[in-house]
Amino acid sequence: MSSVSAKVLEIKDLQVRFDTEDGVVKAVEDVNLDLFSGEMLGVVGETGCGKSVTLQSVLRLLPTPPTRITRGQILFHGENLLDVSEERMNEIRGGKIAMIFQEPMTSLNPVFTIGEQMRDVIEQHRRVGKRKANSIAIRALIEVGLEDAEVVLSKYPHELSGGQRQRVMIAMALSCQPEILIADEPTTALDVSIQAQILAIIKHLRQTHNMSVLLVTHNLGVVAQTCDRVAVMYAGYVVEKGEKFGVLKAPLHPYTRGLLESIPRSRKVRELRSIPGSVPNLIDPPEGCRFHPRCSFATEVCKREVPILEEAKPGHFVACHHWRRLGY
Amino acid sequence: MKNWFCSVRIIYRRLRKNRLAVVGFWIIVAFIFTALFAPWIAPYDPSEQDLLASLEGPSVAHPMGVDFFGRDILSRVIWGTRVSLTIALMAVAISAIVGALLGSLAGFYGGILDEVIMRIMDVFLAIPSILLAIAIVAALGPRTSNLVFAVSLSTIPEFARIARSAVLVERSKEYIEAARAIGESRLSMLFRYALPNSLIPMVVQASLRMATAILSVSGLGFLGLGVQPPTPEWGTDLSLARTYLEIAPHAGIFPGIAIFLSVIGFNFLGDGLNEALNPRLKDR
Amino acid sequence: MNPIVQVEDLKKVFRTQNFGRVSKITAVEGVSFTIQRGETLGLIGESGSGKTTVGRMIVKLLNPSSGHIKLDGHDVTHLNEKAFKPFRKRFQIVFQDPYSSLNPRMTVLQLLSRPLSVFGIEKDRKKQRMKVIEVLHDVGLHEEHLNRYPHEFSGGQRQRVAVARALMTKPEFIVLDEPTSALDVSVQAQILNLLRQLKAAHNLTYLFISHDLGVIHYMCDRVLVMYMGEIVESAPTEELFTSPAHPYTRFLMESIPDPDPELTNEIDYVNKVKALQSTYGCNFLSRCDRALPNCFDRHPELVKLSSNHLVRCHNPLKEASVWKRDG
Repeated sequence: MSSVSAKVLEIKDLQVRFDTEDGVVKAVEDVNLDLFSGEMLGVVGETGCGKSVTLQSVLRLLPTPPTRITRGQILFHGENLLDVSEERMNEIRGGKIAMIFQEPMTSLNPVFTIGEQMRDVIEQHRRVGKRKANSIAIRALIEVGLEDAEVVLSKYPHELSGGQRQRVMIAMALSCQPEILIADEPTTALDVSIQAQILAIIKHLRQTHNMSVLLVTHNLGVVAQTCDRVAVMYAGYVVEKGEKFGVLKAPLHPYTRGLLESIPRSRKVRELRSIPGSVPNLIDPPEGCRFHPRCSFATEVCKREVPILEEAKPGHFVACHHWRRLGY
Repeated sequence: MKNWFCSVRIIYRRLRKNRLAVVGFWIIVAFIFTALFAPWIAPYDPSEQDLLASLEGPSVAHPMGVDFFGRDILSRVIWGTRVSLTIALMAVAISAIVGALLGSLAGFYGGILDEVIMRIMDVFLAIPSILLAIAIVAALGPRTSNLVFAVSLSTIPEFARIARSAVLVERSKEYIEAARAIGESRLSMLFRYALPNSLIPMVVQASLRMATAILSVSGLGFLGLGVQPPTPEWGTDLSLARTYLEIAPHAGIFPGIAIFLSVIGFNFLGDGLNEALNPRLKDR
Repeated sequence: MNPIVQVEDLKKVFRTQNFGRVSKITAVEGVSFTIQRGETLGLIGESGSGKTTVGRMIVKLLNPSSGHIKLDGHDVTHLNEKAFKPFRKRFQIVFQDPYSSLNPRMTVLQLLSRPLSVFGIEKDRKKQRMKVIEVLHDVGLHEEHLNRYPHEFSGGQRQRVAVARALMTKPEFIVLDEPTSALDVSVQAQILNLLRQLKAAHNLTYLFISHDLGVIHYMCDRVLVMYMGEIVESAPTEELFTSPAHPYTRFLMESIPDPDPELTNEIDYVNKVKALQSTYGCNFLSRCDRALPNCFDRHPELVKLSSNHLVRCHNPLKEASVWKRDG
């Protein structure tokens, strides 16, 4: 399906560095991701794998310094977002590409009501009057399941629950009719039942508004249940990407496989396989394949050479020297 | 210890980025050096009188000139550093220790103890510190020990408040609960766990308080309630020079500059430290 | 033999003061259960369900407002700190967040030798060190880690240190309060496996608190489900997962996104929005799609479905399995 629709966003050879007191963090390495119109792409990985950094660089949200985007392009309909002016970026941010975060409280201003904040954003991006902005806000809130929209508009952020705040954020993003929604761990801080609601809302909205969604999460279950395609990141690299059925049912990278095997699932009792060791320090990452110190398949070549992301099966990419040995 | 050393190194690295803090740091290092090596640096004995040279302006022999009693001002400023810094340091040390103790007890135990301690501190805060110091010295006499006592008493409440709020923050952390779960006593929870983690804001405060303490010591000296002549002390000397300010301004200017520099040095350093430690360096 | 933990009609009311206005929040209400030696009892619930409060009351980090706690047959509800100290040695707790549960200014050696000093188990420094090393090996760490500070470790390693600290006194029982929810999945699996090994090696009994059904299923023999301060269902793990009786339990199970993309759950979330504590009827009323007239005016009691399956519902689910997965 994705091959016929148009590419809306293309991240090309992205490389990101952070300057810290302890040294340079090699946070993102040669990341290539495409997002097609109307598709939902999940980016998964553990703490520090670079998934959030990658997506935050799309909207140039990372402070520079200490962040440096040292290489790459981020093409939004062919326009390189890393080169455009700050004014153009402000138009795109929120207007064309919207973003929601893990903790909505940090992106809502505590001293203004929800209504004031929503109207402000809508007026700015859609160039409409106050009254029109208000009705757009109400419609957006109802769409995300906040039936008593007018009451919500008059409230302050702290008067809402975590789930409600996340819905408000989604409504706010939605009210500007973005083409792309970037959701950075939108459900991590929420209870499972609320998580299910929020995901259902995002899925529903994507269909009704024909949005493309980039979902960043550490939860493979969330990806499996919501996305079309998945990209698995480890220590700054995309190690595997493809259709979710391919990646999650028949993973080719030992890391993806390890990750899947370490999830305790309510219906499967067996000894959990865990990945030994922990995520490497990206100031001084391992040479070669960054996963090799934790990998049971690692050989000499893994210590020397960085594996390139190759197309193992149609549409299924993997960056591993030994994927053939692991194939199903 | 390694942990402390580690944090000190990080603090220093951050401090280096703040130019004013570096200036402050070096000013203070210079003053400390002067205080430690006063006998070797000072060209004359600070009490040696050369009445013939009375009120003589700066010259090669006396770079800062001579005061009314014919004493070399440079030597007096140098020796005065030792006196001012020692008194200020002692006063700040005492008030930091007492303040930390009272504040952390109040913060950790809460309840009536907290109320009693903090209300007493409020009373002290309500009295202007210099007035309090004047009253104490006036009542007890202008001895060095009384001076230390007077200056420290007025800074205790500040330290107590800071220690209390820092301990309140730490008290709610999980490691305090964990300490309780392994049977630690209340006192041990306070002194082994909460207090060591609350020291950093105290260090910042100590640096800022050094500045005010130096001002208080000089102020008391200026009012004649501080260090008594002939002991060299900046405030006392400034007060003596006041009478001849029109004919011999140098006698007042140089002790004044010394006060100014030391105060500004500690303030710069304190502000720099505050910035370096905030956002907090823990956990990264 | 006495059950190792017995809790009767536990209640906890928190008083909060907001600009002088005192409000009361009932965090736990009418909670009773027993834990037998050698078992792992799971306590599952969402945030605000009171599960953590229950865990803390058992090891007396919080005192109950009413009710009784018996540890190994002794009523410890009203013991003061000094009288409770012998129990601290036998009843330990591991906290959720290893980033905040370890004193940042103590080395591993200091952290782990404190319990030995405090309980007078071992005063000699050298012998303390030996014992610490022994326990460190148990949790998969080494002698070289002794003089490091918590911030020098990864999350998983910190949690190992926290587990080691709980083990220092050779306890019989440990409350595990969401011990892996701050960790990454791959590391979580390491810690869960470690906890299972330690249980077998040291004859431990666990109360395992979590919001993650998968983790609970992997770790526990029996499970209590809490909702708004009350136990709404209690059953052996297998039975709970194959035939949950409370709509809330089923709702929780359906809410977990499974990593297998072929197993999908499409449920209607629109009406399951608000959680209200109702004065008369069932707490779950506002989110329940099985409500009967009865549910609106009578608060359900915890009733027996079978000898070991309890449920607090007027209209419990009866289907053998609602779980669509795994066919």
